[in-house]
Amino acid sequence: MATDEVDLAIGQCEAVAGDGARAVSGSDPTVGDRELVVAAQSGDRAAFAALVERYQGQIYGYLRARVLQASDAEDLAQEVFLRSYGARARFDSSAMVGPWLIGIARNLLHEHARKTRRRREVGWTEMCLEVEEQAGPQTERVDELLAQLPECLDSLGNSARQAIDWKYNSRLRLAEIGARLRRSEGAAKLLMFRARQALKKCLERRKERRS
Amino acid sequence: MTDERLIELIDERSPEELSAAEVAEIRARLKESPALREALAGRLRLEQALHQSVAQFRLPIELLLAKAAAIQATSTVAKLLGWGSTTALMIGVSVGTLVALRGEAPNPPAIAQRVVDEPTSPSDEPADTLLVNGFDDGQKAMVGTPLGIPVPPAAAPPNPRDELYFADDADAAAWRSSLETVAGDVSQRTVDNRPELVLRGLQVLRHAWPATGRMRLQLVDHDRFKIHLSHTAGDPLGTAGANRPAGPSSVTLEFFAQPRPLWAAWLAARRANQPLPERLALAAHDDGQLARLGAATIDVGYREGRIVLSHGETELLAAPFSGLPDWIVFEGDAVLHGLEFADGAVAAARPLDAPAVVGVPADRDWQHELPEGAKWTVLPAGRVELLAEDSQADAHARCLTGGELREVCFELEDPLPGTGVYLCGDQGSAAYRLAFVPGDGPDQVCFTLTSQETSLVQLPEGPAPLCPARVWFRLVSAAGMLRAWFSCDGTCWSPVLGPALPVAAPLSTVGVYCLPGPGTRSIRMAHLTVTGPADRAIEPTTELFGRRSFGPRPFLLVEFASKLGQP
Repeated sequence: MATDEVDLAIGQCEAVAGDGARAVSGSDPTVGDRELVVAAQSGDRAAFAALVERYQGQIYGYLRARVLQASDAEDLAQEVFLRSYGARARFDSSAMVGPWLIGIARNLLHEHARKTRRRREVGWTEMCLEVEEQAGPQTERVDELLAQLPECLDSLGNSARQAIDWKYNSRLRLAEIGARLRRSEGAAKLLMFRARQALKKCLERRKERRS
Repeated sequence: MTDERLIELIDERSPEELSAAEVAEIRARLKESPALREALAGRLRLEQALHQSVAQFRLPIELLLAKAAAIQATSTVAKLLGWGSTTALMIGVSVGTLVALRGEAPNPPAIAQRVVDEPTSPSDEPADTLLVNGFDDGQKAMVGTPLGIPVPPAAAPPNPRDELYFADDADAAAWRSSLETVAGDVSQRTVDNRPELVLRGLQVLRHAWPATGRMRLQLVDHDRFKIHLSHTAGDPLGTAGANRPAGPSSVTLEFFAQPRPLWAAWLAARRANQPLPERLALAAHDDGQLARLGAATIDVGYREGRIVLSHGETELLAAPFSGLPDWIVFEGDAVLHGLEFADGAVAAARPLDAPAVVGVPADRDWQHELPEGAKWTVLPAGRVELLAEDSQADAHARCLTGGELREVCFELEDPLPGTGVYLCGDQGSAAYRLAFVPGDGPDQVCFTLTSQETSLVQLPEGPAPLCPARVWFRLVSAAGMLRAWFSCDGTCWSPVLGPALPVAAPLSTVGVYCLPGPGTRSIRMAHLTVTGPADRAIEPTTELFGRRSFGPRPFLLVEFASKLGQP
């Protein structure tokens, strides 16, 4: 439900810095995972925070693609890091952190599917886990996409780029996206479909070029 | 469907748009169809990359570390207790063996004292009891008497937080026969060896509400499912004040699965010619608490002028109501895993602290800007009203609070669309607005908290925030964020739906406004209390963040890092 409302113009608006929520990167990119893991194992909470900062996006992306509710993905992402914190002493610091965290996330998804009572969502999550078991780990292939994705996103038209941002960042539903773009829900759905197809083709073209 | 059509479905739709049947069909074909598998894996990779790359997801790291530290502390205590139990058990077994071998009793007080002094797990039986009966820890289900005769343990009382299931097929069938179908149908089936009822349409539950009892039910797959409750004897107590007309007192409870699962309660009214009550105002919502508890069973009961929705002893929401419900209707599609009327009252409502002092708006020094057609009036009992008729410019009145404000609590009467309350700094320019906008239905008014930078007021998805005729709000600025609560009685509060807003500059002014436009726009303020930092300690950890897994504005890592060095 959207309502056009004339902007309230009482006096001069103060410049309210609305972007105060932007997180400051706490992880120095020059510090390797191994150093951070070793420091975290010895009780350095800042090092653990830096690891969270470094991997939270990857873990959230992995989980969000496999559960239908964004809030579930957030809760599970937090749980991944809580479990990793509890198990950090047992982690082999020479191993890779990302796959270790993804493994924890996968286990949590299994638990989530067992516990949740919303059948449609359970079906989706279980299906994703089955595909992963059959097709093998996808992390490297996702990393390939991530390397090319920014440029492919930039190649989209304004509406399509905006719609992608609203869906994946602002978490708007298609009806809301349609309302913002002054289009019907069906038109917004079509726009999203075309945007994804365009991204897919762009990513495939770039992969072919590289190979 | 063919594999080609299933691949098209995967490409065309987002995961949320796929039905359970379509997911099941894709899943059934996965093993057989490599093409389908690759299509789904490819779609998953793209979704994952988009969520990872586009979403600005940030965990509240400080909260996360606090939780991690708490878990670690619990784990350490549990380890200590575990060692204690083991030690106690070993001592017990050793002494028991000695008794058996020597045939003589040791000094009982000395042994008992030694065992009791050892730390032990709370769930373990006292070690001396184990000694007398010769049972080890694995046999603690049999509790010993002083004479050493084992007796079966007394049945533990049911945990009110346990999920409720129909006892058996006959139990489910009995409840099915209590449901009178007005439209749709009720069917019974067995899934995972458990009976369940599938509700579709409209069902009247023919069951008397026990005087000291509550209704318990476990629902799944119940998006937009409604429970209508009425007390047909009317509302002599006036529980809803001006928010509900005379006649039967009604409340509608509704579950929303999207955008996040939550229960909402509406003040409602049943009109003579309508089969269902009409929703009048949003009374409360549970802020997703039930979903975060990971539970599905709800308790619904009447207590002290309110319908209370709870899970065990955890109150989820409360809405004004006049007596025991005597008309219960289920509307929508749901799967019912269990239903019962249990003894015992529902959990007591947990009112949020009300302001200690309720202020009179007219006592404050208001400055106004009134274009042609606008009027500022002081009404009886110190109420104030801003009214604009066919005005061509903004009308507003504001009062400086004399310092930085932390909390503003006020009661409004009949706010009309195009009006609202704003907060700003000393310069008097609006920074944040509690805006009243038209709802979908005739004469409906909705409310939402928005920043002045937002020109298009977007109501949050989920329950429509229909505004009661008399409504209380609390706006709290703490921890760099502005959040709002609403209440239809000034006692039980729910967060205003939508994200909290970051506050970058101190707020010190409260105002009311009417936007320009045709017709009449008016807003009346009946109470106004402003609290500064020195007047009242705001506890952001409990009030602002305690009810959410994640705050809308993440903690800054730099804030966290600065606190690391603090004791």
